Amino acid sequence: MTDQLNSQLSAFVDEALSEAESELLVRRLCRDADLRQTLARYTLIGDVLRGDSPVPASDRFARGVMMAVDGQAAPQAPRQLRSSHLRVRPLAAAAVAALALAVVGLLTLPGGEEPRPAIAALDAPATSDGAARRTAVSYNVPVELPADRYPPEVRARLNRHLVQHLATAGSRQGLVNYRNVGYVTAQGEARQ
Amino acid sequence: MISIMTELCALTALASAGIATDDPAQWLERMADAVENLNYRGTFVYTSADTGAMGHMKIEHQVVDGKVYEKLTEVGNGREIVRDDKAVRCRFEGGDPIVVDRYESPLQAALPAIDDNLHRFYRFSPVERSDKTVAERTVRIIEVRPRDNYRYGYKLWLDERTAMPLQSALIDSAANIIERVMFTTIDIAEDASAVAAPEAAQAARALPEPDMEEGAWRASELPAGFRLTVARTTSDGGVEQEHYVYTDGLATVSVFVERAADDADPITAVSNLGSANAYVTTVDGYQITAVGEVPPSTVEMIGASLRRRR
Repeated sequence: MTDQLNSQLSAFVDEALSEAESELLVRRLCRDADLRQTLARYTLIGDVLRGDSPVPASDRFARGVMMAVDGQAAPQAPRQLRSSHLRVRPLAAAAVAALALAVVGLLTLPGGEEPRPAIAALDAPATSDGAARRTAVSYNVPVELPADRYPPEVRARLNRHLVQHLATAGSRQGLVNYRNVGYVTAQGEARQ
Repeated sequence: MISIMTELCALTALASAGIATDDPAQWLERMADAVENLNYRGTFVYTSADTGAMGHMKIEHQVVDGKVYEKLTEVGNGREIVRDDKAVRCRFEGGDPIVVDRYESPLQAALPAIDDNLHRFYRFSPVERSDKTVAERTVRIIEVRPRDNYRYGYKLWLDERTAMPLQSALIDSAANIIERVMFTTIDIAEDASAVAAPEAAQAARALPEPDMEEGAWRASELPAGFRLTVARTTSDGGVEQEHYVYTDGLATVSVFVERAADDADPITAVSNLGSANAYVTTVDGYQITAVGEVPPSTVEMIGASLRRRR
């Protein structure tokens, strides 16, 4: 699945997608069963993560996960498949702004601090021989390249290096830290 | 009376588990032991704030006769990662399988090392008991905040009995959440003896010193607090590569150097890989890749400053 589609689904679940984009997404959902299944999963995940109190949701979520594993449709969460999701919604600008603020609020820990200036101390012994020649963009301004835009061999290399990194560097959360392995490939294949 | 008995039972359980402390260092040490040594299986969900990506995965972790077997499976697609005492094997749709031999890295025994130096770069909050539960288990909350923009921090919800991390939020220096992970169900075969006593665990931690002769490359610029801890040359599928690991004791960045193919596209870029970031470039016919669960500026600084030293 592409980053754009991911973002749209996520915004749709959060009721933060514009009216026009919602209409297009709903049309696509009508003809794409995989996308509907993904939306169902996202809605469940969003419910759990948003709530920060998983107890009421955990039973429902556990059932949803088990049913998804079994290849069945996930159960309907209260926020899922609301009628407002299935028609063009008259989203007022103020409501959109409020929703955006709510999303930002959810993504910010209470008691947040002001950003700090970067510490650019260079305490490593410099071993530069000054002869390194760059063959591409100046390293001071590298391009920000979505990983799915890489050639396949670069994506494969990134995945392999990510596994090697995790296997060597240790993992505070065990195998959970490997959740990003395959991320690049999955993104790229979906786009092609 | 029932509530008093419940409280007494809870206190007794805490005391027997030996975790009646609010010292974040001890809790983090126990967490590292718990994820490696306990037997558990469960399901967790994760979401990335940057990309909006979400997913849920099943995890199974078994320790049999001292040997670990783990499996991670994504619900909804064929992504699977299996790790045992010999190798890590990954399968996913649209990509060739990856097999990486298990390397007994000295870093695995060293993390997390919480010493005075680490306090220069992170702020550790006292451990608090949450009035909420995660996966229907009582949790303690630890918050580790970065003091600059070159590393991420964490908010961790640890199981009160076992110190298993049941929920986590990866946070930047401005307290924005980068990624959230949360178990929705988990079954833990609780065996207090499987988790080392905090004092014993603490005593065993020390960052390793690398073989300074190993490897022909070094980073000439590092964020404060980072230093080289692993330098080794390996052969991966017949391709020789050099692998360096830089760490501040909590965050780690790997740098890989390998000969570029003659027709390789000389890309220089920073890319998001979920909660991790990668910087790729080409220098003198060598492909450089810096990767780690750190901000983009960190992989860029380290990767871009890599130079041949001989």
